[in-house]
Amino acid sequence: MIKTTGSFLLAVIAAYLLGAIFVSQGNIAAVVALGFDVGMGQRLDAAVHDMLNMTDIYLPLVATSLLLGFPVAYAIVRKRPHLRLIGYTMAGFVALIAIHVIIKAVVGISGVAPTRTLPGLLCQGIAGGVGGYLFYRLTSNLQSD
Amino acid sequence: MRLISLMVTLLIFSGTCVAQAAYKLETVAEGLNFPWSIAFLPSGGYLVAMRSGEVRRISTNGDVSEPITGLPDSYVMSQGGYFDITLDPNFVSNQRVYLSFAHGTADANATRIVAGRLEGNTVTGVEPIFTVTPLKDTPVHYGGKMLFQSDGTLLMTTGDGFEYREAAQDPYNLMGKVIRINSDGSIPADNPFADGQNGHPAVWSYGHRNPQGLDLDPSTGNVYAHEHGAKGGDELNLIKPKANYGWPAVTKGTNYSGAYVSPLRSAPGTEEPLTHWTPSIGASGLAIYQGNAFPQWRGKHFVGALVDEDIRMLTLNGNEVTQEEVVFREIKARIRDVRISPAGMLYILTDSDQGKVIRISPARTEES
Repeated sequence: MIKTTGSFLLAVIAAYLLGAIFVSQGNIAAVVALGFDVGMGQRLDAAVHDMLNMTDIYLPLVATSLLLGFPVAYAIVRKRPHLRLIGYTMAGFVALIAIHVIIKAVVGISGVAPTRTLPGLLCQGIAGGVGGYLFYRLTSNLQSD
Repeated sequence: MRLISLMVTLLIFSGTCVAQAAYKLETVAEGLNFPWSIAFLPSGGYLVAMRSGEVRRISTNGDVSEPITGLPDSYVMSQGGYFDITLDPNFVSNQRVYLSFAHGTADANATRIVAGRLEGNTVTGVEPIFTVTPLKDTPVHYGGKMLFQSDGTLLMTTGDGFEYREAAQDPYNLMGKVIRINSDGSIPADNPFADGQNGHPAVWSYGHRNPQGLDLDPSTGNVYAHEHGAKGGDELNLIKPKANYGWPAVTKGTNYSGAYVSPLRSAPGTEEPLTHWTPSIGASGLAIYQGNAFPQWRGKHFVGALVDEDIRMLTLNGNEVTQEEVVFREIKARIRDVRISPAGMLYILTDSDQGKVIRISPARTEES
């Protein structure tokens, strides 16, 4: 149980960091599209800033979505172990997209600006999918041990 | 000696000295459903527009009328509803009033201005004179502050609709702008994009987020506006025609998520704010004091704060903010609007479903 919890936390951190980078670069892409110059140093600074400063709202969102998504995946794959890879990866992908779609539907506005566009929303799914893949790998190692 | 001691004690414990001005606070009307703006009537009393979608007349002794009839229904949702109400510069002869409000539905709404003739407790001949385009599907960030300039043109702020922040940089899109029209809704020929070649003819300035304060300094003719940032980045700006105020590419604030809106804090071709507030104070309502009741306040900018529940008194030297003082903290409520009455008293609107009108007057002077 402790090892599973540790795997979950690492999956959340990975999804959070990647998701924050996608948010950061998505926001910058919108600024560049408006005709403003953003240098490489500013891009890196923004990525670091956002990874360090999105912990209040975005990190709990990522954690909550994966906390809801992974048990669903477990329920599906526990009798079909060969589907664990695709199951957890897809669970992370769908969970992160779903949480942004739900926020938009309930509140009427987007909590994370880049998710206003399909590419931005899919990037959040990729971050969740990476979290799911990492969870699969870490828990696979635990089982093989 | 005892009398002097008593006076000194009262002065100290009442806490009513701001910039060497002794004042008193009085609640002159209450129970108002999210009051948003005030328009003082030359005959005495004033109109209060409320976000709940009604306008009421309040007499000098605080009697609140039934809602004024004849005005249009509003899309009352979240930040939407009735916003600003203002009188025509020739109101004495034409009784014309202007109301900005959220028009439309959940799927298609926008800030609209209507105008009509105030007759008793009714506005007649109401007709729309301006509607922000394109319509949006969010119930937030409407702007809505109006101001008549000395040349008779009407300025109004518009918000970016939150979801459409990039529209603030599009000069053809009316969201996130200060617009300038004539009192009949037509476009002044000297607007910066009047020919429509490089922007919408109504646009006066652009790159705004959600401006909630707009006032004119009659001694200089300068127009000032302040706007809400996101998480930080509330700004006070000197409004100039065709100027770009940067949002969302240039801002001092961050998104509510904590991420940068943009890594740019300044950029060529964009105006720097005169001052900014980070974290946000929720700037709402702006009044530049010009009255006689408080001579020591002349020229001061009073900015209401929704979040911090106080008022900021700014001193400007030219266009440099040299001092900021937190005042009227004893009100202890979200401040929606700050206005100056014809007699030079400050009128404050508090933001709640039991909103109040609070009058600030010299400690020993009654409003005439």
